[in-house]
Amino acid sequence: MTIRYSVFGAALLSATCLSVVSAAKAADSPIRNRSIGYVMTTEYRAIWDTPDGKKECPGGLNEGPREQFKVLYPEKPGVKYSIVDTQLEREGDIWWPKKEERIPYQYSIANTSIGINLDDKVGPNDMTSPEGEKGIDNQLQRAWGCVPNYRSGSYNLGAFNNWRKYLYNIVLIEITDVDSLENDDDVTLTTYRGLDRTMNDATGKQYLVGTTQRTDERWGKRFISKFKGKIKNGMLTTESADYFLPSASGSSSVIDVRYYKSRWQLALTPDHAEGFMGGYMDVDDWQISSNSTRSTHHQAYGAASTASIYRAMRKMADAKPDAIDGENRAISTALRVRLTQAFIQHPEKSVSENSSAKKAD
Amino acid sequence: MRLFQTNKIHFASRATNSVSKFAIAIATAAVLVSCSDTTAPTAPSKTSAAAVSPATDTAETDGSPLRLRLVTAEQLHNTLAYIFGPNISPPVAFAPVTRTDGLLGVGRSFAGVTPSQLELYQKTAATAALEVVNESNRHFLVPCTPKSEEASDDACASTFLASVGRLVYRRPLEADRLAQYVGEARDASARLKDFYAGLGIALEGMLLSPRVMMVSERSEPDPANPGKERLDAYSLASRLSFFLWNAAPDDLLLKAAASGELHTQKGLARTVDRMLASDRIASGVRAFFDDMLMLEDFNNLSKDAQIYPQFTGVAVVDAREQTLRMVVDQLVTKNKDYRDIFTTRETFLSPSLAALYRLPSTPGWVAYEFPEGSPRMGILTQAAFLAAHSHPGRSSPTLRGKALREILLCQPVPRPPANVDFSALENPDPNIRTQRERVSFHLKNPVCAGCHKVTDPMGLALENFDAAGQYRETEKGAKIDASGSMDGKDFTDIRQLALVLHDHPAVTQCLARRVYSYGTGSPSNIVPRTEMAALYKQFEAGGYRLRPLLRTITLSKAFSTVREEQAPTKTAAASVSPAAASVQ
Repeated sequence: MTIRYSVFGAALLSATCLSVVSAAKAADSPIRNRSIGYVMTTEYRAIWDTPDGKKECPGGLNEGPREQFKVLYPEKPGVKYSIVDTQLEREGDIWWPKKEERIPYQYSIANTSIGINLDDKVGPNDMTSPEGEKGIDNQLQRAWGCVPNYRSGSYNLGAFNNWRKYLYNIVLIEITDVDSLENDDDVTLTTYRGLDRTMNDATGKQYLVGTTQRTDERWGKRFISKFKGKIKNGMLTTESADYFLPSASGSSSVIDVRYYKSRWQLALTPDHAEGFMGGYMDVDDWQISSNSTRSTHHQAYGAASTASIYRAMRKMADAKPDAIDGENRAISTALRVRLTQAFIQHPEKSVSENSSAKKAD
Repeated sequence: MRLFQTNKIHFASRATNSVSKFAIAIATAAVLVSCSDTTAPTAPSKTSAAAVSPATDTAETDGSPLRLRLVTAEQLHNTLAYIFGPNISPPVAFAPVTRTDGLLGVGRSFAGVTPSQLELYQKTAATAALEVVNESNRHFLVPCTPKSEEASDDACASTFLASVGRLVYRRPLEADRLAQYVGEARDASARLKDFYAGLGIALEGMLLSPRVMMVSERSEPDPANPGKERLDAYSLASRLSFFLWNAAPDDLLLKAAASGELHTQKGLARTVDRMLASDRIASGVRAFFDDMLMLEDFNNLSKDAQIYPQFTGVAVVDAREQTLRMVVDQLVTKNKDYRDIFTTRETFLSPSLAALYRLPSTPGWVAYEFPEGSPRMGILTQAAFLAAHSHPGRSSPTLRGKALREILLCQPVPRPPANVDFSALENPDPNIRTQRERVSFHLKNPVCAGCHKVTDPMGLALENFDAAGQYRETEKGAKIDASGSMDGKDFTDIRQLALVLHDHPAVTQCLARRVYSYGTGSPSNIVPRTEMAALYKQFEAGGYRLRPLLRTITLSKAFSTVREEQAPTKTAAASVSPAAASVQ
């Protein structure tokens, strides 16, 4: 009898301990109800370059709008320009670009770039990564690779990255049906616009892991896209879907940019996701967004002449042919992104329903 | 512009006079307080200034000593909010005082005031006065309209100052004192050609009075006990109000004091019941637990940001708030057993705290219940306790065990000897991975073991939480063993330790002692053991609920009668008179 009770007691104690450990593990893991969320905290355009640019830009780098203006309208003795013929003409070209480029444009000629294979093919225009991966679709590398604005060390790279801090630009991803961050052959990635500002951690230099982000499912429906995917050795690769990237610059205009047949490739950890979001970016969306959110003054910082860049992008565009003229209107590209783990809060659910409290495995 | 300059000059002059007077009063009182430990027995004094010395454990008399206590920043804030509304909220930050008998509330009876502290008082008083009489507030905070806004008006000034004076002095203003303030308002208004500016200057002087910034208790003969003293009605009202509401008495309480109701058993009970039923009781309970749990440490708490990036500045503030919200919710809102704060899974979360706990949340504070089986249960597993009693870069079973003993069980742990050798503890050997392995040196050394055996085994139960209060199962790759024992009871983890504490008799006795000390401003060791034992029994009979305990203490003879105790020496007594006179 004593032995029986001892065994029963030990079993009970073990069960209690296991229960505690199980609850603790569930509470400690960011995977809740077979889902994990992240908020985008870093975004850089996937452009490859060398320090001196000679390999990809042997003709030198492109000049900016101010330099172009001087070339187009040089000061000459006896020559008087009207505003209509100069500044307004230039402004018209920025918003309604002419087809012909009047100033020679420098394209990146190297076949090296970073990004992801958007079509699962290796085509003649595809790039090869510095590590040797073939089939990378990144025609934007050719259009932007010799524009100082998008090259390493550019002042504006930091400014673009900061855009993700603006409340409108909060990008959330939620990976559902996930059993393991190491290997899972059937997961779903859903994108949302978030409603909560990102928070810094105690160092002030990194983002706080494990914050809660509410999804905007009322006004932000267009930002919701679903991507089927697989996780292999900690790397998530999704299939393609169209995606709207919220794009506002501070308090100024909001012009969102469409990415057709986009996909994600992310190395996952419980705290972060890092990799690429690639797709065929709508060139006209980009043009309107760029002109609306950054004046010529700001574009001049990075020698980024929108009119010339637009023409280059149209020339290199490799997707979405126009129904009338047959010319492509989208260009393959990618964003180098880093995301930080966050709990995703859907509007229809209460705190406890979103938490592990009631549904911990 | 001219008026502004005049105003500034006058304020400065006025403030200098006030500060000087205040400084003399405070300095003398401080001398008295500091001398009181060496006093010889004489007859009881009739002023608090003359009766601040602690007595011995062997005294057999009833009552508690009269006290002269500094008002805390929070008490001043609450008082101004009651009188003028929450918009009148000058930044108030007073210097810390020394903790005595585990409480700052007791330490305030033994504190001095420095010149810089006086400056803070003056700034606070000036800011509050300016806010009250500014153009946005004057029309509803001043209950009368002057005949002219550019001249003095004694009748209106008197109406306002008498009304406010009664509330800030916590008793009616004497006629000559009121006349003095009205006179100051008159002079200032005339000089500045501005009624409200003059009124503000008089109000500043009033707020800066030692009688406002300090709670000076007075006694009177107790008719029910010939030869004994009791608190006078207004002193009793203040003691009740600062204890239960952490603010000066309200209008009704002062009326009860004026009518003599507080000196009748029924009247006192009626008043106490009203105060316990008021929402303002939450402020009193918050203040007590903030004090008892030493949460003022959070004013300076920091962790190594590289090791604990989740422990943000906002999380530090919220950790303190979380504990206070939980305590008030359990003990006031839900009227639960005090012991439940050690075992409850209910708490509150803010976004930054949720990130620290790795939990989802929503904006603002939300109620949250940890799931059954969670290692988070009770106050010990909240970030406030875990982080406050850890090192900046690592957890500390010793600090946590010590805090548990001293704060929650009222069992003082001796300080380490001056020549203690930390080398074994700080051995950089990488094979020592867990804190359990590290502190095991304590128990091997007989010199250390005497104290550490009462702290470390309890503290080790909290090792599943790092120095920032985050849950962990391993430390440097080694699985954490959170088992231990406490006063003969074994446990395997924090959940079982919480249950051991829940049933530990010292836990409830400690709370009763601390509440008594906090309410009376006196160390509990001056109370006869028989009286304290009776208090413990009543606490038990009340189901360890806080409200019945507060009721028992506030209705006890000890709370309202004045204890005969050692009086100052002749030298100290000689310096008492002017101080007492000034303070009154």
